[in-house]
Amino acid sequence: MAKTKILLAEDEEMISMAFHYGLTYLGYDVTVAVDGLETLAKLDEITPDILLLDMIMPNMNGLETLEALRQKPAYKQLPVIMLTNLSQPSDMTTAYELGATDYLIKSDITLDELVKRVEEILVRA
Amino acid sequence: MVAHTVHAFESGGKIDSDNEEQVLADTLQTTDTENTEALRRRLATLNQRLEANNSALEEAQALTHLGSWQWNVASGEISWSDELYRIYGLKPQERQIDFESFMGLIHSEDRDRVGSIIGQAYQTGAAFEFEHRITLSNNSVRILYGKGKADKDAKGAITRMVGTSQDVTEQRQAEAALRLSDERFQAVSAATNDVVYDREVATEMVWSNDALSSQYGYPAHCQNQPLSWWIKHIHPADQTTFTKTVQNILNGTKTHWTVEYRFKKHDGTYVDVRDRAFILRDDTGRPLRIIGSMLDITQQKELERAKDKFISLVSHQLRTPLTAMRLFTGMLAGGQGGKLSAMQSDFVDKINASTVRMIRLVSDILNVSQIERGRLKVVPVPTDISSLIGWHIDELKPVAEAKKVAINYEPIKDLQEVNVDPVLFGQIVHNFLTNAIRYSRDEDTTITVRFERRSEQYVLAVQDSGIGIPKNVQRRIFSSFFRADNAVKAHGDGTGLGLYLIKLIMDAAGGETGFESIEGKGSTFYVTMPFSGMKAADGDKILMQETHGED
Repeated sequence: MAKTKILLAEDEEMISMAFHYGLTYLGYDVTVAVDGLETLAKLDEITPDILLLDMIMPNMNGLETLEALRQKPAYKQLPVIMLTNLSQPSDMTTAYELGATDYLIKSDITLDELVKRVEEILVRA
Repeated sequence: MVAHTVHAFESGGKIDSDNEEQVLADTLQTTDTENTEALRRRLATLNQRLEANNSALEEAQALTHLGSWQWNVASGEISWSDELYRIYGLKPQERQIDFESFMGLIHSEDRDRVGSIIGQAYQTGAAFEFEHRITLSNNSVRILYGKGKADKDAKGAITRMVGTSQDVTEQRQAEAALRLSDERFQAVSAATNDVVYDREVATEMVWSNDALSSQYGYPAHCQNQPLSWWIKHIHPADQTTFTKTVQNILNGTKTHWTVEYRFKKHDGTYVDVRDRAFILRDDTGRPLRIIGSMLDITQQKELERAKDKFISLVSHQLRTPLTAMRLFTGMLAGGQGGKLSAMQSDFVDKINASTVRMIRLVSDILNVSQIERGRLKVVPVPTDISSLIGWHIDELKPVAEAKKVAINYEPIKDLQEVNVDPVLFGQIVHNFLTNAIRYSRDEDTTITVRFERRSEQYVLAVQDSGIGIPKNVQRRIFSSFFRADNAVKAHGDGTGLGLYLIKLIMDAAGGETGFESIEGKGSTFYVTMPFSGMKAADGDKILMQETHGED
């Protein structure tokens, strides 16, 4: 069985490394992008099963990237989990309006919880 | 009888003496024995009228504290009305007054001036008026206002001088007090950088002090403008709130308001102002005038914004590396970095626990800061309270069991669903319970949780038999970052934000927060809300998912 492909868009190096390492260890095929533009490019390149998308990034933030990718028919149904440290309800509302599948506060989840959420979403998708 | 005083007056209770004298003379000319009786009757009538007029005059003088005098220049005789004696603190007609004794009654500092005014009037015959002080026998000083004039004969020689003297002490004191108060107001108005204003409700005209020019740059004529001018200078986004708030207060019974808005300066820029006013109402409660001040709080607002930005930045910057630490220690503990020895594993767990605690602390600070600055969003939904409380008790059971503390909760029967925001209400239950467990004194004690109806309210109460709160710090227990000394001693951890957060939540949700506590015996913390439950609030802030404020 082919590995589940995860595209991880995260500009914070340490967090990116932690997720990259942990998810790889748990058997996922992880590709990393460091900003919005790279995320859009890598989407076409690797066609992931799920996107983990950080809110605050240079060169197109998470919300802008989400809006841009939902314009493309190929990514209309792509599961996208927003990752953030913020807790403004307006941001959450905006993210869901733009088509986010889920929303996680990075500091509040463990790797196990993230994986659990990813698997639940992939089963539904 | 003081018949002589009558002549001092040219009007008022006057006897037409010339006319009466003529009638008498006529009567005398034609007199014979049979007319003697008529004459006597006529004299009696005249005397009666004279006395009536005199007593009316005396009454009028007493009422107005106005005495009168006359000085017969030829005879040198001075006569005073009864009231004038009283004004000088003497018994009416107790002794004859001459010029010497009169001058002796004048306040020593005014004596020369009074002498020269009277002397001049005596020489020129001109009417005069003046004020002077007198010293009474008990040494008290009174202020008199005097008026006088000289009567001359056909050759222009002065025959007598007449005048009045009125005690105006109270009037002058009141005027002086008013002047002082006005001077103080002017001084305060000038000294303060606040715009001080006085708005007349009936005309909607607003007067303001110089600060409108000196602080906000408006020309002086703007210090008298209709209310519409002022409203026009409030930031458009704040106008509706301002007029609504103010109208509500005016329609109510309050005597004060405090509103904050942005006010436009003459150069077109805006300043943040705090407008505090006192509303003067008539007996029926109708507002008459509004007197207030506008304080420029731009700097304060900028500081607040800077503080918020700083807290937000710091907590974000702290959370990012903490998150990475937590993820890596999590992986270490999970064996993803290779197998650990028992000691290594223990160390990693401790690092992990500390990291989690630090993340929570940062979340708490950010939460409190955000709720303080914005409005907390409260979304009440019909909630099964017993299940919600039970869930939170279960969650904390391991912690309680580790301390051998039992949690007792007996849901009341027939409890329908209650309108609460489950996240916020859960936070309250969690924070109360955490404190109760943490500060339980002995092992094998019980914490009692109750949710019940009491008069017109629902009450959630958590009772412990813990260390209690010392009386001298009880009033500070809901303050941010406050921890009582005995709490710090009992438990080093804690941010002092848990109870504060509960108060912020209940304030936003229209409920009350309180406690009863005896040091060394235990505490009962409670929140109350009406049967309608928590009040919805359309705020812009929600709690972060992981907030476990403690204390």
